[in-house]
Amino acid sequence: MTKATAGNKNLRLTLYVAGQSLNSSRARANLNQALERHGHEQIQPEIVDIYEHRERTLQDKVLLTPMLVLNTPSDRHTLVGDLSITEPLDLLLEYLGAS
Amino acid sequence: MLETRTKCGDPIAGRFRTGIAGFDELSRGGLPSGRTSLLSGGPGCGKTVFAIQTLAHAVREHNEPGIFVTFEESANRIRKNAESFGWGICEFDDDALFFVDAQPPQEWVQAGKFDLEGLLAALDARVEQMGASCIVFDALDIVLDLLDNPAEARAQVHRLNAWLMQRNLTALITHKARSSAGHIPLDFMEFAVDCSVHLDKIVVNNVSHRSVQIHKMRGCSFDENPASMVIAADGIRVAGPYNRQPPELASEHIERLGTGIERLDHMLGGGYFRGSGVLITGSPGTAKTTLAGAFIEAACQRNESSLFVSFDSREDELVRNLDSVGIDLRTQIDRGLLTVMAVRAHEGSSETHLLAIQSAMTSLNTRNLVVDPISALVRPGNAPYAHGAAERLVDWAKSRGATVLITSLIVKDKTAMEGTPLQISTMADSWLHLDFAEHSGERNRGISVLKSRGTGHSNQVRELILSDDGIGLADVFTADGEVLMGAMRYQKERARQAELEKRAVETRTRQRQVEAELRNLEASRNAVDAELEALRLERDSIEATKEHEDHIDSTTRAGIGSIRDKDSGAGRDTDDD
Repeated sequence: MTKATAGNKNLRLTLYVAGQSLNSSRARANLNQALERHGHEQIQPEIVDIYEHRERTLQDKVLLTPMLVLNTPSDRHTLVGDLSITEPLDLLLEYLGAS
Repeated sequence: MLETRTKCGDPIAGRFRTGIAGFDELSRGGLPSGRTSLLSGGPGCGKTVFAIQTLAHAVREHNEPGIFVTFEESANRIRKNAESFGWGICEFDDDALFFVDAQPPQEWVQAGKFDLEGLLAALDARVEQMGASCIVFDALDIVLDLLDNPAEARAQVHRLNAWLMQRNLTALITHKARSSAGHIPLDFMEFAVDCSVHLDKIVVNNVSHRSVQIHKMRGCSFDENPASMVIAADGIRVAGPYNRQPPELASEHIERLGTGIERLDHMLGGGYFRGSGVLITGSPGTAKTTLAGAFIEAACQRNESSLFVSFDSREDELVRNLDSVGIDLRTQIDRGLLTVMAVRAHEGSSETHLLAIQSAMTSLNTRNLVVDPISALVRPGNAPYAHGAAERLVDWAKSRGATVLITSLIVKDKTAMEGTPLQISTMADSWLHLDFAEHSGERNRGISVLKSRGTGHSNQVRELILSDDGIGLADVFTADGEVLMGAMRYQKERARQAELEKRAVETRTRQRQVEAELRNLEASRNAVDAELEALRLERDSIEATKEHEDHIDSTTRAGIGSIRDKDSGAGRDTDDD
């Protein structure tokens, strides 16, 4: 659960999951695969289990799970779902590599 | 809040009162407590208002904390809109009523399958913290529509339902009734929940009608018919089945109220009963309003608060028109006893009007109500609903002990005796009918009492006469089975008058003749009497003379006798006499 670290320290990648539920497990696996595919193995996304951090669900507006959030100083990018649709994630990771 | 039900036979669930006027009666207690209810309806049907009104009621009246989850509108907007209803939403803190903004984030991208676990985890935390007992999911269809297929949507709904049941929460889920094309049909939700309520809004000829119908209520009986509903200034009101108590005739209900027209009072055996419903029907211009005005003026003169609902004319028109027949409403308005409520019939559904009248009556504590004419409710677009509204108004007003006088227009080609357009005659205790009798080129107003419960009433038609001095009733004449009014009546009256005068003259003449004869005879009799008297006197005098002579004669003879026989007994006997 270390902070996501890319070239830029101001970027934060967080995956919110609901325990070991099917969608959440798939999302974790899909995210790891995609990070490898893009050569971002060094990036360790923050994984938040909402069952353990219930207070963060409202605070971070995580009502649908799983949810991947990339926070940049200027933007917040949100992907909802188990990341089985790879195109949005690929676009996000390309953006991450470029910055 | 929790009311154990005994009647319905469901041992598990109590009822959760919504506090929505009429709905708790319709559902016979409210929503099933600790269960999930579904509230469906198209856009603008009042789902959100219904939901938040229910929560606000629970918080305010029963101190039951609640959570409102909104998927469609922002929590702030909902809060702001709800504030205008005056339920004190702004006074509730987050521990009493908590709003959860659950709108899908705008910048989000969908990347595969997802679920609502995040939301449920968040709610878990809040429910525990607040000790919430009720929860609303507003516009759940928004989030279900994001799911790929019906199976997933179904799975999420079942998950939600199970979550709610586990926590024994009373839940209200709202969703749009008809999903637009391409969206997942959400009908299955109806089967998953314990109670399903449908809100509807239809527009007929530019008049909007709202209704509410309970589709299902597991393990309990309920009123299945749709009921009219309005969204008023203080929230939703459902035209519920009012508590109809058996008509108890309180002492005041045998009290007679003046109709404002003396002879009409006589026709009705003293006037209208207090607390009764009076119907006045008639074609246009038959003076229905005038009779109503006479009644309300009389009511105000008894110092009773009265309400005149005028669908046809404005207040100033009404005052002016009635002033011309000697009914002075202005004075009563100025005294604060009379309120004239001028309503334009097309400006709302019959339900809206009903509600406005009810709130006016409540705030004014009205004892006498006139609705002139109730038939105005039957405008295009209102016809299917007007009767119910009118009936409920009369029922409601009577249940408050108010005396209700309603007028109703009857169009000429409809037979008056068959019934009024609104069929109100059945709810009226007294029914007066006004009619024009057309005869010999003129129209005259006739009034008759068609029905008057509990009263021996006149079966006679009377002519109604309006003049500057007021309203009067005149007897009518019948000739060859026809009722005569106006000029014909006048003629008839004149003829009768002439006949009477002629007879009076004849009588006077005859009287004089008789008196003269009498005097003659008396005179003759006096003469005869005098003659008789004279003769009698003469006879008497003759008698007297004769007696005297006899006496003298006998004395003379006795004198002679005593002289002749002094010592005889006969002479002594005579002395003894």
